[in-house]
Amino acid sequence: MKNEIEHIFKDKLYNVEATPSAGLFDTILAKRAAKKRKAAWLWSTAAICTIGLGTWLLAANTIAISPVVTKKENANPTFSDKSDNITLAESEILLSEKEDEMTTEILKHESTREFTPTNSTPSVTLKSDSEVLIKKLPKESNSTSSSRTADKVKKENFPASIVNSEYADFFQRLYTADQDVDRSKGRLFFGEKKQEVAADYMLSLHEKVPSPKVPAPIRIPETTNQTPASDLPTQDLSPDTATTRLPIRKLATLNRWSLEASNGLGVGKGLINSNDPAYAAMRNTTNKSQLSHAFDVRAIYRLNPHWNMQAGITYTKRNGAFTFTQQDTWEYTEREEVRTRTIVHPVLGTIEEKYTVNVTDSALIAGQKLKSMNSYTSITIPISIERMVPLNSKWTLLTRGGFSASISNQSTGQILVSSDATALSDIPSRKIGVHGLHLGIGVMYKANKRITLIAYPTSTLDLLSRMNSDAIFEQRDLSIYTHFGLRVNL
Amino acid sequence: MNQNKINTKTNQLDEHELIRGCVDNDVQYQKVLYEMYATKMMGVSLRYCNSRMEAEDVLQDAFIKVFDKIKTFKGEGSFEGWIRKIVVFTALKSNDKRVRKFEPGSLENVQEQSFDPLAISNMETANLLSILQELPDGYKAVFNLYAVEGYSHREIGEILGISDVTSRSQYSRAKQHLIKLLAKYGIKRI
Repeated sequence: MKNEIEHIFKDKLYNVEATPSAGLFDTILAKRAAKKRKAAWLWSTAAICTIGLGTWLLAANTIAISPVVTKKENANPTFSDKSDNITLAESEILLSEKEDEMTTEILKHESTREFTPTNSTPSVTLKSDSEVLIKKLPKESNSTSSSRTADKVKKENFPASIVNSEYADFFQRLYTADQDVDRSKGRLFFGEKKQEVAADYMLSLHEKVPSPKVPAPIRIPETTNQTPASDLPTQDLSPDTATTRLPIRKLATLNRWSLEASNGLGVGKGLINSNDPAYAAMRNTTNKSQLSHAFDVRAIYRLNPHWNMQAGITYTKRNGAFTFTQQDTWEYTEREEVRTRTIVHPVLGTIEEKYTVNVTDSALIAGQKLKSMNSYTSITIPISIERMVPLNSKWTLLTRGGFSASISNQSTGQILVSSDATALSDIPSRKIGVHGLHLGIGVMYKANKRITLIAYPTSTLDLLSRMNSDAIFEQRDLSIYTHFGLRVNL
Repeated sequence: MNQNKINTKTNQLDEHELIRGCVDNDVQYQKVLYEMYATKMMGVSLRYCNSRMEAEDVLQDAFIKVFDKIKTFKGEGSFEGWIRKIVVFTALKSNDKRVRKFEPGSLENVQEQSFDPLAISNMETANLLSILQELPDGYKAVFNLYAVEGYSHREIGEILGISDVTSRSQYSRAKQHLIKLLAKYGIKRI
């Protein structure tokens, strides 16, 4: 009997059947499809994130690792210096064996570009010319000077010191101009002594006359060991000790951050939506756009030569006039009027009798003109992505778009809050949560290496209503501002 | 392949062909498979769940797994057994969301009680099912796995993450609990 309970339950329940609900199979199919969609969405998101991150890292790394800067002693300074005790090092850029006219042109352009010293030492008087050698190296060569073909480009006013960002910009341009340049072969030799180049360091003049012996260019192995900046000026650049890679990455990243400040002028309009068509029609005919403005400051981080990300804070104030002329109305007033009537009686003679009647007077009252100057202000945090298309060395075409998160919102002024209202009421605005989209197309002019000027027509559109939820209407603002301002390259 | 064609072939539909159709994500084949096994598996699910609604949720999740994993079925063992196993494990996993209490294994305090087997045999299946559903989750899982599905205590221990001694004691307690519940239905102890 001990095992009978198992047997009974097994016999009776093992094959027990029950009919599930009729629609269960359809639910299964729907749930499965939803699961697949979710999986596909997750995979797509993961793939996009991976590709985006990979591209970004690749772009960052490409800037970071490619040009390795080393120095070599210049035996025959190619400039003459009237100051005998000053020798300017020679810059030499070694490229891959790929012959590329564009790259050469860029290099020529760069080398003839005037480098303005930002921290010239007064004792250094540099009046001579310097030369930049642009050479082509065979791939896998040992970088011997004899294996190169030199293309000397005259460069005037070579600086007493060169700001690192110039080099960053230089390599960036080189890379931008020709993606096929084998940048792992890029070498910049600069002087005899190895110098660490920190982010805020400026390559300075070598004040000693270089040794007449011309050492072979040294290929510095790439390593992560970076000697502290303070140690480097005293180190020799010999094959044995030259293992430090100069931080071109730092040079490049110098140019990645910018600040922008701009002020925009423009006009905007409130887009009214209401369940009461008469009210919407009335509002659309009673609002008149006024000159408005927006002030914007933002930090810009350059992802690569063509794209950057921006975030900042924007204050906008859209002005509008509300004008409404009321309809003419009849005004009725009642009063009592005492009248006299005369009765001629054959016996009593003429009798005058006074009596009272109610009289209604009517008057046409001209409709009043209701007017209010209204303003809609917002403080928002814009997050944008910008595409930069260089047109030439000075001008760049810009396109940016993004999302604005509102942190403060204020509407001041008066409107009619319903179609049958006869008097103005305060605008029932909401204080926060008016997010929006913005899109702009503009141009940028490079005034100098740090300052660029921008002109940026930008449209903004609220995604949510500016009005309280109990208002009978919704209002989203659509504005167009043309921003004028400047960017400072940090 | 349209529905009619399948319907006419259902009787002759080879299990291998059915599986292949489901592997190809053919809804018609999936529907045939569902119709073939839904009622049986609903019965299995009901044994592990406390309500019909819960059992349908388990059945739904189980069939989603069946359709997702059918390509992993290698033909070892019966196909129905494979589906049943999925339903059982899905039900157990669903029950995991509730706290299933297992008292540490010891048979010392468990006293075997007897009952009238004939009276139980004469009970309606629906009533037996209701009694089984009334068992606490831990007892129900062990009783179902051991008495109905035929798993050994060692296997149950592995499935539920308990020792086989605990499984044995839970089973004994489940039986005693069951007999108490049977008493509600007029089954007298001997």
